[in-house]
Amino acid sequence: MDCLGGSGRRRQQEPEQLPPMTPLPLARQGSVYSLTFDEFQSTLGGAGKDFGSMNMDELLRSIWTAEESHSVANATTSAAAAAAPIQRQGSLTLPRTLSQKTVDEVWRNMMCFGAHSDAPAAAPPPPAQRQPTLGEITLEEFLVRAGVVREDMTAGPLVPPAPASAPPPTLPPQLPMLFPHGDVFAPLVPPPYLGNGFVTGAAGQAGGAAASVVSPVGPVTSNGFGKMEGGDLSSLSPSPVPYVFNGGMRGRKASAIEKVSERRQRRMIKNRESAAKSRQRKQAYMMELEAEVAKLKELNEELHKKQVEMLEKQNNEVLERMTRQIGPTAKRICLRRTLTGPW
Amino acid sequence: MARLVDPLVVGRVIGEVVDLFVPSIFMTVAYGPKDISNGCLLKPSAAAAPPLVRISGRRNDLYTLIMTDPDAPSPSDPTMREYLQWIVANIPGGTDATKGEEVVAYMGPRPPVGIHRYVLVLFEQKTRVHAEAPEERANFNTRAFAARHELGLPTAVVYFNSQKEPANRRR
Repeated sequence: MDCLGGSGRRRQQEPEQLPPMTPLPLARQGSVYSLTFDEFQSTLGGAGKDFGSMNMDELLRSIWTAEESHSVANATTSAAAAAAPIQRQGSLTLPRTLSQKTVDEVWRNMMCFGAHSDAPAAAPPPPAQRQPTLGEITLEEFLVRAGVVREDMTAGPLVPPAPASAPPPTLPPQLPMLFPHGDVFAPLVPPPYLGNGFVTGAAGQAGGAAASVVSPVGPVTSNGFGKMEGGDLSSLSPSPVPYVFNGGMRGRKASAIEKVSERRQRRMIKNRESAAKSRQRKQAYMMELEAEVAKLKELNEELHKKQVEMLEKQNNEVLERMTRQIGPTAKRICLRRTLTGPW
Repeated sequence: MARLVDPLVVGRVIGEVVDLFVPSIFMTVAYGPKDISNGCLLKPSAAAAPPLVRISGRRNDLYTLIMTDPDAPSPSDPTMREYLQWIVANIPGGTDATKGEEVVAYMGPRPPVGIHRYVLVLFEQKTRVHAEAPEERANFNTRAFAARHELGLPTAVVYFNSQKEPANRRR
């Protein structure tokens, strides 16, 4: 089968092929996963029941049967054909929580979480990949978002299910390629994440490989993706950020980081406000002080003047007194000869 | 330059607490030996006791003094603006606040968060005022009070800043 077996082929050809963003024609994809629910239903010849009420288990089984028939129909390299069934076996496992749910419920959950994660997030909601209806979503998208677990898949860094800029068609060619990749990568990827085994990782890688997008978890993810892109088999660097548990809650991690940055921004704004207030206070006080200084200076001058006046007055007073007293007591003051002594 | 714009305007006292007015009475407020000047910083401990408020004016006139905190509980979030600290009414001109009637007992500054302004506003009364104390100190409105008792625009305003003293002394 093209998708699974074609992994080896595609990986090598990847660089020379169309740039990742270009959607590959449907024939090349040849994967069931790339079909939308609607198309899938039609390929089954109408045999597929109404998916909405179908259990996740049943859905997967029908997908597998479709894959099988598909792979038989397709002409692929022998290696691919041989690889296909093996890989298919281990390809999809459902967490217990999911298997009992119907497709409808899972879909609704996804939409809800999608809304939640987007609401607080600063990042714009991924436009194209938020397929509004169940019918339009591709199978893999749905599975990925629902958090269908891939056992061997160990994690790439986490990325929101639909990186904003990646157009939907790019996802299909990459994802089928990556499912088998996960097999190959398994031994190389650090064990701690085995337990988590998220398809989200696959989706993240898909998204990253497809779009090389700077997601909100940018720096962390691009590491892993760069390696994936180059067909590098070096282990993906373990993400320092803890993982969420299923695809439906993937959005929370992104929003947690966004919350932190939001908090930081709020703090910065508050800081700026208080700095401005502080400056205002300082200015007010300065003006007050300047006003007081001016007032005091004036007062000082006045007092000085007054003092000078007072002194002058005092001096004048003495003189005045003297002049006043000249009249009646002039004789007394002036030296007087009272007696002429005998010489 | 300082005379062109009033510190009261820069400190947003005029605007948030009172409206633009023309000062006509001299008022000095002294906590301890020093008079306060607009915008000076005072420790809450220094302002715990009621200050000595001297006013000019004619003997026959009566004045009302109101002290509030427009930055309660926090300057960036003044949900309790204004917090009433003190009301003294029927102060005869040329005397001080002790000669008036204390309608609301003096409460010293107690800023929990941030640097608060404490504003003292003096109004000239038209007649003898029989003011009832408001039910709560929080969310007091000086303008409304003035309107209710026909006090008109203030005749004198002064304000100072105060912030919580750090619990531990810096070594």
